[in-house]
Amino acid sequence: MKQLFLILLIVGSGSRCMAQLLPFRSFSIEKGLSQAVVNDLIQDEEGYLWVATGYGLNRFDGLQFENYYEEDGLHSNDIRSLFQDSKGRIWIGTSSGLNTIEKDSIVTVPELAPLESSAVLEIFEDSRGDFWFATDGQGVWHYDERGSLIQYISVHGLAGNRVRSISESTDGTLWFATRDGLTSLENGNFRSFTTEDGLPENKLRDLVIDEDGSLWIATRNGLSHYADGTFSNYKEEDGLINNRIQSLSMDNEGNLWIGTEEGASYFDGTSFTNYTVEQGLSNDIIYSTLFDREQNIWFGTFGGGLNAFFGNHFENYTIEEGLPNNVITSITQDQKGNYWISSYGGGLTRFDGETFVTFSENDGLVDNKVYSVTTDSQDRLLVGTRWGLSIIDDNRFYNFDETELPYRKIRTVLESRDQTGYWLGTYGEGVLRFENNTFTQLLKEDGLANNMVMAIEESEDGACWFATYGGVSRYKDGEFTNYTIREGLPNNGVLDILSDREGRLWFTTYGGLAVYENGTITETITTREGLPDEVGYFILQDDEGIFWIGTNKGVIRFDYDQYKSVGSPEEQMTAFKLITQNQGLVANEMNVGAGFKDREGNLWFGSVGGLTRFNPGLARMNDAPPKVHIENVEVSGEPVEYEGGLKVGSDNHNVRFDFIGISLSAPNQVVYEYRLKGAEKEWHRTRWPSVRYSTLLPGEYVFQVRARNSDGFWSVETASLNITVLAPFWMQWWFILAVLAVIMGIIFFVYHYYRVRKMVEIERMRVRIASDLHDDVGSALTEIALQSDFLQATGTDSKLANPLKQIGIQSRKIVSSLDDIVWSIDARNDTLGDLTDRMQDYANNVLPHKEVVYEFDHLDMEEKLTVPLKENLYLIFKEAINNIAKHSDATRVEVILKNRSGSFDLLIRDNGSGPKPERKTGHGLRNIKMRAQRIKANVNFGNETGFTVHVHGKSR
Amino acid sequence: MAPVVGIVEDNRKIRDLIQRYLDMQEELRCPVAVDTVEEMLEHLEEHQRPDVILMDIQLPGMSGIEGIGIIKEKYPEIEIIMLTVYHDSHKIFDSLCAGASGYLLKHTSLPEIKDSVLKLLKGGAPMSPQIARKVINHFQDNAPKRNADSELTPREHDIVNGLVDGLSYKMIADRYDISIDTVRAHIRNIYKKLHVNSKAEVIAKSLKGEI
Repeated sequence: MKQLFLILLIVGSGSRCMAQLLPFRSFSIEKGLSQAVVNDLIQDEEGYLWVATGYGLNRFDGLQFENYYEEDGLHSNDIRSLFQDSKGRIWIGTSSGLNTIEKDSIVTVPELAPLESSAVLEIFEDSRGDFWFATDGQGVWHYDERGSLIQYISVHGLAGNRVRSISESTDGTLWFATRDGLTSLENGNFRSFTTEDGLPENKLRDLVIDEDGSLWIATRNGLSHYADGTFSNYKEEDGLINNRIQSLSMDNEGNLWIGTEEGASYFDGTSFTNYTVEQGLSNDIIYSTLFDREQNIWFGTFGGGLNAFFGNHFENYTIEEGLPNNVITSITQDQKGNYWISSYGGGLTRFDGETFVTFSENDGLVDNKVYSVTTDSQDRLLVGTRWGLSIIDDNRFYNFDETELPYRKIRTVLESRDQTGYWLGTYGEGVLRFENNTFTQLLKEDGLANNMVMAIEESEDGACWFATYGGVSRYKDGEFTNYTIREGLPNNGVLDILSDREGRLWFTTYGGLAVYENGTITETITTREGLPDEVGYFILQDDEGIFWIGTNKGVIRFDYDQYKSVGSPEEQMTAFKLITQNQGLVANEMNVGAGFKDREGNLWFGSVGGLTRFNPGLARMNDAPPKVHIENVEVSGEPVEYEGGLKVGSDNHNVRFDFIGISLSAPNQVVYEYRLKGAEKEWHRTRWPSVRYSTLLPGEYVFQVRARNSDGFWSVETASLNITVLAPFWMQWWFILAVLAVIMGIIFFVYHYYRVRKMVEIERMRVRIASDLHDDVGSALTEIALQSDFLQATGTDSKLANPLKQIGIQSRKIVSSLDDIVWSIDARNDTLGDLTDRMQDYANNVLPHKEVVYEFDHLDMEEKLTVPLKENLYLIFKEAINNIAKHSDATRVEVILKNRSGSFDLLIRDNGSGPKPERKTGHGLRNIKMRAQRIKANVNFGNETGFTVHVHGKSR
Repeated sequence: MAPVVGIVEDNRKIRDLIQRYLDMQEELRCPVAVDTVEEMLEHLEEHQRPDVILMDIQLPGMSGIEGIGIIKEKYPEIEIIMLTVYHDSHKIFDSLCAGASGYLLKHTSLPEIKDSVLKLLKGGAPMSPQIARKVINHFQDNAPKRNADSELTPREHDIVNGLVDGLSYKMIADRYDISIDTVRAHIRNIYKKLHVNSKAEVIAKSLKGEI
C-alpha cells in the first residue's frame, strides 16, 4: 500500500466515558404533572397510573395527566399515599385525612373523620378485607366496613406512632414499619423489633413481603431482610447505592428495586445495579417506586417528577458521554474489540467500552465530516469522508491527495471478498475500484444506474451490488445489470443493501424495502404492507434473524418470518414494531448506513442525536395488552354523559368517541380497532385515539374499541358503549300510531262521506223518480179518469157509458198502483210507521164497513225498512185485504204486525165462514207467495176460523 | 147563491174538466180556474172571492203550499182543498199546516170531488191515519211552544188516536157516540189548530230571530 501520509497515533483526544445513558423517561410539571415531588405511586386495575404529589393528585394514562385538587373534594392537596382496594375503590391519603374515589368523583367517608387531623402515610387492606391506615404521629387505625374505627398507638404495643408502611405476610401477620422500629401484629399481639433485634436502624420507611414470606425492610441505614427470625442487612459497602432507603418494589422475579436518596438500586439477591442521574434519572432523591403491569419500573422523585425505566437493553451515547458529535454516520468494530464511530463533523472515535478517543483532522484524518468507517480483513480502517479517503493501518493514517484520488465524496467503502481490492462508492462520481494502488472509475455511462452511490454489498456469487440514487446496480464480470422501479423497486433512491442469512438481498429505499432472490426482485414491503416508515437508512439482521431498519421515525423491528407466516394484511402489521425514543432510542431520526451489528450480537444505531447500543437479547416482549377505556363522548361538540349507555336524539351530528388503550411502555404506538356494532361489522384500525361519526341513524348500537400494544398483544376485553339513537318524533311509535289513526280516520271519513253521499243520491233519485211518475204519468192517467167521469156526467150515449166507466176504473187502478210504487220508492216513507199508516189507509178505503182491528205491539215506528221489504209487505197486505173485500163474508179483520229482534210476522185473519176454494188457488195468493219469496219470507195460509195469511221473515 | 169554487191547477186538461164539471152543478159555481197561485192572487184582488179553492201542489212559480199560506193570510175565510195526484202524506201534511182544510186525490171521481167540496163547506174534512200520525207527532213535538188555544182538546186527541188506530170515521163516531159530521168538524178544527200551531211556531221562531 502506498504511504502517502503517516502520522503516529499516540495522541488523539480521549475522554472518559462517564456512563452510558439508559432509557429513562421522565415526566414532570412540563408534561402535566401537578407537582414535581412524587410521594406515592399506584397503578389501578384499569391501567391508569395514580401519582400522589405534594400538590395534587394525578391520573396518568401514558399520554396525559389529569389533575385533582382540593376543589375536586380532596381534604388536602398534599397527597401522601394511594391504594386500590379489593373492590376497585381508590383510597387517597392526604396530609389531613382520607378520601376515596367512587364513580370518578372524590368522596369523603364520614366514619373516617377522626383521621382528618392526621397525615395518612399508608393505606392497607388486610386479607380479611379490613383497612389499616398508617399515620404520621397518630399510630395505626383499624377500620372495617361495619364502621368500627380503632386506633392503635405505642401504648398498645406499637413501636412508634409515626408509621410509614404496613404489610401482611402470608401467614396473616401484619407488619408495621415505624420510625421507632418494626412491629408485628399476630393473633392480636403486638411485637416490636428494633436495632437490638438486629435491625440496622429503627427509622423504617417501607416494607415488602417476599414470595417466601420473608420481609424486606427499607431503613434509613440500608436494606434489611428478615427471614427465619433473623435480620440480614445490606448497605453501601455491599453495593447499595445509598443507605437512606425510601421505597421498595419487587418485580415479577422477586428482585428488588430500591429507591434511595441518592438514586436507585436493583438487587437480584446477590448484587446491586445502580442508577442515578448519570444514567438518565431526572432526580436522585427517590420517594416512591412502582413496578407496573408491563414490567417497567417507575420512580417518583423529590423534585424531578416521575421517571420510568424501560430496562437496560438500550444504552445511549451522546456528546455528554464523550462523543465528539451527535450526528453518527457509521459504526464498526475492529478485531481487538474496539468500536469505531464516525460522525459528520466530529471525525472518528474509538470506544473501548469505557473511554472515547477521538481522531480528527488534527490527528491526521483527511476530513472531520466522515461518511463511513469499515474494517478490512487486515483490520485496517477505511474511512470515507467528504474530502477523500483515510486508511488507518496499525494506528497510522494513510491519506490520498487530490492527484491520487480526484474523487472527494467517499460515501462508502467495501473490501471485496477475495481481498484483492476495495470498492468505493462516491457521492456523484460513481463507483471506484481501488486495486493495486490505482483507482478505476465506473460511471453511469459505463452502465451504472446512477453516479450517487450510497452502499455497496457483495453477494455470495461474487457479484457486486451498488445502491444508487437511480436504482440498484449489479456488477459481475465487467457488466452491469440495473434494477429500478421498472424491475420492481419501490423507489429508485436506494440507501442500503443487506445480504441476509438466507442469501436474499434486501434493499432499503426512500420508498420502502425490496427483496431480491434468484435473479429478480421478489417482494416489496412498503407502508402499505405496514412498514411504519418508508425511508430505510440502513438495514441489519440480528442473530435471531430479525431485521432492524433505521428510519426517520426510529428503528423498525421487522420479523420477516412472522410476516410471511400470517395470512391477513392485518396480522402482517404485527410483524413490524417501531422502536423510538420512548422505548429508549437516543433519537428517532437515523442516518444513512449508520447501523451495525457487532460480534456480540449488539445492534448499534447511529442517529442525528447520538448513538444507541441495543441488546436484542435483553429486550423482552411486552405481553401486557393495553387496558382500553372510552374516555369521552361528544355530540355536536358537546361532551355528553354516557355512564350506563349513551342516548342521543336523531338530530345528532359529529358523534365523537375518545378512547385510550393504556400502554405505559409505548403509549404512542398503541393501535386501535373500533367498530359501531349495528352499523358496521368490520373493525377499523387507527392509531388515533378518537373516532368521529358524522350522523347516527336511529337505532341501537354498540361502540366497541380494542387496542394492541407495540408488541402486537391485543387487549383482552373490548371497551364498549351501548348507544341508543332515538327515533325522531316522526318515527316514534306513538306518532306513527297517531298518523295511522288520522289516516284511518280520513279513509273512514271519506268512505263514509261517499257512502252517505251515495245514499243521499239514491234517495234523491228515488224522490225524483217518484215525483216524475207523480207529475207526468199520474197526471195523464188522472186526466183520462176525469175525462171519463166528465163524459159520463154529461150524459153521452148510454152505449158508451160502460166503456167510459171501465176507462175511469182502469185509469184509477193504474194511478193507485203507481201511487203504491211512488210511495214505496219515496225515501221519505221508509219507516215502519209509514208502512202501518199506509196499510191502515188502504184498509179504511177498501173495507169501510168491516171492523178492522190492528195489533201493532212493540213496534218501533221510526225503524227504517228496506224498500223491497216495505213494498212487498204492503203489497202482501193489500192483496190479503183485497181478497177479503172480494171473497169474504167476514165482518171482522184482524191485522197483527210484529217485529222483534230482526224478524217480523204479519198476520191477517178474518172471521169469514168456511173456506172457499178460489181463495186458495186465486191469483192473489200466488201474488202473496211470489212477494213473500222476494223478501225471503215464509207464508202460511190457514182456514180454521176464517182465513189467515201469515208471513214470517227477516226484517234485517 | 151557490158557493163559488176556484181552481189552481197547471194541467190544463184536468183543470178544465174539473172546472166544467163543477160549473155544471147546480150547487156550485166555478168561474175561475187558473194556472198559478200568482194568477189566483190577482183574481182575488179584483173579483168575487171563491168560498173554496182547489189547489194543486206542484205549480209553476209559487208552489201550492206557499200559495195556501199567502191566501189564508190574506183571506182566512177561503177554504182550501189540496189536489194531489198521489197520497203523498208529507205534502198533504205540509199543506194542512199551511192552512189547507183538506185534500183530494186528483183521480178522485168528479162526483166525489163535488161531494168533498160540499162536505167541506158543511164543515167536514178528511184525515187519513198517516196524516193523523203526523198530527200527533206535530203536537207532541211542539209541546213546549204551544199555547192553550192551539192545544188539541181531549176529544180531538181521541179522534186522532182513533184514526191512527185505523178506525174509520164511522167507527170513531160509534166509539165516542158522536155523529160522523162531528168527527169531521173535529178534524177540521184540528186542521185549524195545526195551521195556527204552525203559524205560532213561525212567529215564535221569527221572534227569536231564527228566520
